Amino acid sequence: MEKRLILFLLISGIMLACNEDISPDIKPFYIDLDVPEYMGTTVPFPERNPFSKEGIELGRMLFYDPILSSNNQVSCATCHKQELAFSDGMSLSTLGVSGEKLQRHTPALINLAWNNGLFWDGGAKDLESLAFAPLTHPDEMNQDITELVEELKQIPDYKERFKKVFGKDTIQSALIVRALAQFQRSLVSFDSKYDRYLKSGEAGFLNALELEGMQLVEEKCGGCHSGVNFTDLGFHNNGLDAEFPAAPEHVGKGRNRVTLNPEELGAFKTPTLRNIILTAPYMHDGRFKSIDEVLDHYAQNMVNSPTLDTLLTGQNDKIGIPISENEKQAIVAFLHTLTDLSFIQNQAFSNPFKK
Amino acid sequence: MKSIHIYTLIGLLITGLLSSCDDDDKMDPEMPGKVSLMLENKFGDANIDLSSTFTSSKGDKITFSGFEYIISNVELIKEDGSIYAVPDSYYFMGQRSGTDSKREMIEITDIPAGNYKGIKFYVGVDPETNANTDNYEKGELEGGVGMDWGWASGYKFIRWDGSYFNDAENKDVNFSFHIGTDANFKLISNEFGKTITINDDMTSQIHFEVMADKVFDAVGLNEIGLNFPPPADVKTFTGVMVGPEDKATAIANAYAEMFMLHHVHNMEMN
Ligand code: HEC
Ligand code: HEC
Repeated sequence: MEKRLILFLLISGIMLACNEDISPDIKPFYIDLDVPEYMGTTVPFPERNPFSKEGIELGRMLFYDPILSSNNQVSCATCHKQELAFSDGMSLSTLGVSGEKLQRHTPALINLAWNNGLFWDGGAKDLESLAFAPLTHPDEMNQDITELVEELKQIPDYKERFKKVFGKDTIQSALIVRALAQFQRSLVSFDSKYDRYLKSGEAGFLNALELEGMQLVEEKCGGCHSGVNFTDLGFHNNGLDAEFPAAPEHVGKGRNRVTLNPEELGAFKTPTLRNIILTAPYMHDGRFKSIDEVLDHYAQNMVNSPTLDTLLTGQNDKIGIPISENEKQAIVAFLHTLTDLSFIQNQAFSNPFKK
Repeated sequence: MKSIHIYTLIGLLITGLLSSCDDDDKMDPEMPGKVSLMLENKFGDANIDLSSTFTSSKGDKITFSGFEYIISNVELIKEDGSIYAVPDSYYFMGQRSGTDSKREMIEITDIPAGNYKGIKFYVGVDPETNANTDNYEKGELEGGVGMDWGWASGYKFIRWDGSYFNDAENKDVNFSFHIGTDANFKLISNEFGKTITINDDMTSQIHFEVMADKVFDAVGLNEIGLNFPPPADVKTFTGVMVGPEDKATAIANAYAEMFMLHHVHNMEMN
């Protein structure tokens, strides 16, 4: 009996020793994150970066830790504030290390796990790759990644946590962005009034005006802001500008900067409409201060250009989407039902360093 | 007696398990060896450094502030045509702006013993790996080390920065050649013209000259002219970023031709 046990232990010990990367006592415990059935019940993730409780928690610490910036004063949360559904309330942010105006508006971070292209032009293919951009951009966090890794290695708590999450006794830049991505994928918002309506299937959760607004959004906006996440994850020119100059840094060219496809000049990613009341100002350069301005844009202020989306080229030579004043009211009422207070109050998403 | 059997059994088991830990198949009686791949950065006859000025056949006068590129997916071709693919072979080469250290040598170890007649490698990163930037599992790739794009996923395959004399402006202006994307991932394939023997007893070197002048002979900086103004410094910049634009394609086609096999040596060690 005893001998067999020893033999077994020996063999298993040797077999484990073959796997140099992950030792048995620190193997992370992977979890699923639940979401409503209409979103597929669990939050998707790339195979190389599954969720663990500790991974999300580590990502949350990194997200809120200003040590990630060159002057140790700017964290991701400086520009992505929970109370604003992880946007920053400015047209073009000046909250980075240099204080210089950024080229584009800070988007909210909501239900990003379902996105397949990130940034306004979809240039980043996933959250892991994306994080290097804000970390290193001179006007955002201006960080030297090699130095950041060394700094984090000096902090025993981080060393311990990285080891627990990734099973490796080291910190690497790739692991930093993986932890950040786990936290950001966990930022799911499915507890608005609209969600309660969807979950119950009872019309009673929304009033008549809100229901009318829902219908209108489906009809008039649903070509792009489609589905329960209110985005087709596609790229469209929604008639903001007539020209798309190359300077500065091609950012005005939108999706065309990434694909070089002339038909995508001035096309930007369709943003979700969830929590939209919290995330003003609007559009890729934050040019509209209110939802009323946005609706006026769609109804009467649209600008024509060769790449204007065909859904907006209109009937009878009038570009845009016809919306009456009454319809505007109904749409605004419905957009309010997309506000998820538990999203912006959820302790699991808030600053872990604040007592 | 019985206990001896068990311990013999344990011994056999352990030996079996230990050797199964090892991925290399040791069919060949000889021990694996290593080879140094030398990539010497040149502009014409001169070695590239970050202070000299070089003149292209188009007359551009060029000074580099950084000269970096990525080499990947190295394969060594055996005498019988079979291939040894070097696992996780991704290497950052050249010299970064603001640093003195330069990388012109790759040491490849654990190569199965045998006679080899050629080498293949790529400039850039294969599409599968280049789809994201957090690739710590892949050799030297890790992400965020200055060769990633930032605003897009993946890596810059070459990152050459510097200045040149712009005739129209009558002064030095900066230039950047940052080229990436799947279309510009380029195969470099060479036969040695003889075989080299790789094993534990031999030292071998494969020496290439990396002729950057070929790129500047194909794509003239003054011909491109000023473009892509960065925000701070609008009138002093020539750049080709990304691809596949016409110019990025022309540059990539030229860098695919810039690796000239100079010689291979093969010597017995004592
Ligand atoms: C100085 C302000 C600032 C800081 C700090 C900052 N961001 Fe951002 N973030 C932005 C701006 C501006 C954009 C839009 C950029 C674009 O699309 O071109 C953005 C975009 C994003 C997006 C894309 C969202 C989408 O819908 O496509 C993600 C994800 C993101 N940031 C995560 C982070 C993370 C993680 C950090 C910390 C490592 C961070 N940000 C730090 C301003 C900031
Ligand atoms: C042709 C596709 C399309 C249609 C139809 C459309 N949108 Fe949009 N919407 C977009 C795109 C693309 C953007 C981002 C544009 C940009 O920033 O350059 C956007 C942006 C917005 C924003 C700003 C979001 C933010 O976070 O900044 C709001 C609000 C909005 N749309 C509401 C609506 C409403 C309401 C309707 C219907 C009346 C509508 N949209 C119809 C494509 C569309």
